[in-house]
Amino acid sequence: MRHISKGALRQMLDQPQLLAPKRRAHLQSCAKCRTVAAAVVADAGRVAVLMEGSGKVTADPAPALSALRSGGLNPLSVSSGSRSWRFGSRPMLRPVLGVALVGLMGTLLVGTGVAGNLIKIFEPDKLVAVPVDIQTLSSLPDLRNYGEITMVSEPTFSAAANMADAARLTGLTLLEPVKMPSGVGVERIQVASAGTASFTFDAARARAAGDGNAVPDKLDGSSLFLQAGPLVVQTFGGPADRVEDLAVAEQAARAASAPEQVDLAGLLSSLPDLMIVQMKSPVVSSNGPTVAEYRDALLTLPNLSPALKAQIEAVGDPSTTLPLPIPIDLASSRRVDINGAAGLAVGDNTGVGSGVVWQSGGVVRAVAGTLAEDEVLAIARSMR
Amino acid sequence: MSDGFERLFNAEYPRVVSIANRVVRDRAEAEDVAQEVFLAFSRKHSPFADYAPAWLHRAATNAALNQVRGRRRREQRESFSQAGAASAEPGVDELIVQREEQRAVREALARLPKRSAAVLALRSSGLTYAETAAALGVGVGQVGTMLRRAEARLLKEVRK
Repeated sequence: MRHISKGALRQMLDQPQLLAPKRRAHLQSCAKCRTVAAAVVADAGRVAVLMEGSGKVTADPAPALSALRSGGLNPLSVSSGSRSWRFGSRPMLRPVLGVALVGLMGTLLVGTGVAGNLIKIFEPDKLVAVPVDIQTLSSLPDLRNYGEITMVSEPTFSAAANMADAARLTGLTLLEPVKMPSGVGVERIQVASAGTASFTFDAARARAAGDGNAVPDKLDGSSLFLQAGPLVVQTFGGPADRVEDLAVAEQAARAASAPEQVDLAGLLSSLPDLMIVQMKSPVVSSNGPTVAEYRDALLTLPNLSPALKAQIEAVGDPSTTLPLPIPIDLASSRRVDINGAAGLAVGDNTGVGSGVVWQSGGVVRAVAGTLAEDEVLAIARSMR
Repeated sequence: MSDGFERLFNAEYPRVVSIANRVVRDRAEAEDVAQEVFLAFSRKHSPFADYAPAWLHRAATNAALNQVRGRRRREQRESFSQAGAASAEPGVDELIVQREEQRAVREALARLPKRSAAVLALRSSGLTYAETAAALGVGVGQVGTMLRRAEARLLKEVRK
């Protein structure tokens, strides 16, 4: 087993419960890692003393609020507080939207009266890794500059008692792992129904946004329809188990009870020890242009680096390939075989976590957690 | 002043001051920074936004670092007062040494990359890994690595 990174050792100091059993065993037996760990701990202690400085400051907000009022600096310009989820309003959401734009994937086949006019343009049967850097994705323009996003139908979320219940609720053919590492926590199962969204291109809006935004004439007024889900998520050892981390537990609970207010960045930061996701492969339909025309339009986006353009062009048949963006600053990927299906193993650069994604039987499946890659692969390959 | 803003202010003000203080090392300045941060927030954002706490925490480190990097007059006042104190009041040496240490840490923080200084200020103010990650816009798994690098750099800068 490779040595434990300094970042993981530093995190272990603050969150020892997150250290995977195999890593714990390695640390106990590896003199080099123990030496490094001692140095990391010593430095952390010195810095803690430096940062403590003149001691804790406890500030009383009441006089400060009075000062704010009496100073005539009335912040009443604060809005009444729309509770809608603002697309692209968080730094983390931009790369997610960038992903949606890069692939033009994961959208809806509308099961309404419109369906008769729709042409299915994307239904993936394979995955491909698309290396991207976070800076490039973060600099991609806001999707709202190009058109209107509409939630046609919201997914509903519920808990399932067991996997048989989850299969009944979703209609999915679900697999379950036969092999699991010791020490993973309590299992919870959540289910989401399919959701539907549409995106309609608007050339006038793009022009008004400026900065080189443009919608080609043939796409103006056209709509993409996205269907994602249903999906089943099994989590093991979630934030609620880590009772000392109440902020994380609270955030996860908010996400579960009010999905329309999901803070994606916060949810990502509250990932459990292990997660298994199974989701019906996404389908995209269009009321006119072909997927090649959408891809060509995507390639004209401002701020798209030559490297990212090349990656998009290399995806192959865009109608059957699901691109998985891999942030090269943070993670790496390699192709793996999961019981005959082609998959992608993804590992983060800190060595703290890893995951694997593959597709079988029209279902995209993923296993990820604070485990080593070989453990994650073993779980995935044991799923029946 | 809206109820929503007041609630947010009461909930987050102490923490914003604490974060700013880790950088500026001066209570009065930290409170000034906190006021500016809340005013800036109020101009463009809703107090009910889920990202409000993370925004405020991040802004506190940014504003505090800007304050430290831009200041010159304060340094001059400190030198002056220290010289005066040393000559007029015997026994204040310890206070002067303490001030020098504070200044050394403050200047070292100002020389660090912004995110390195930010992760140190946020964690030492008691934010969890999840809150720190949210403020910095990174995954929680990255916080350990960022912390380790920031700590190594701070120690190197302080030793200069």
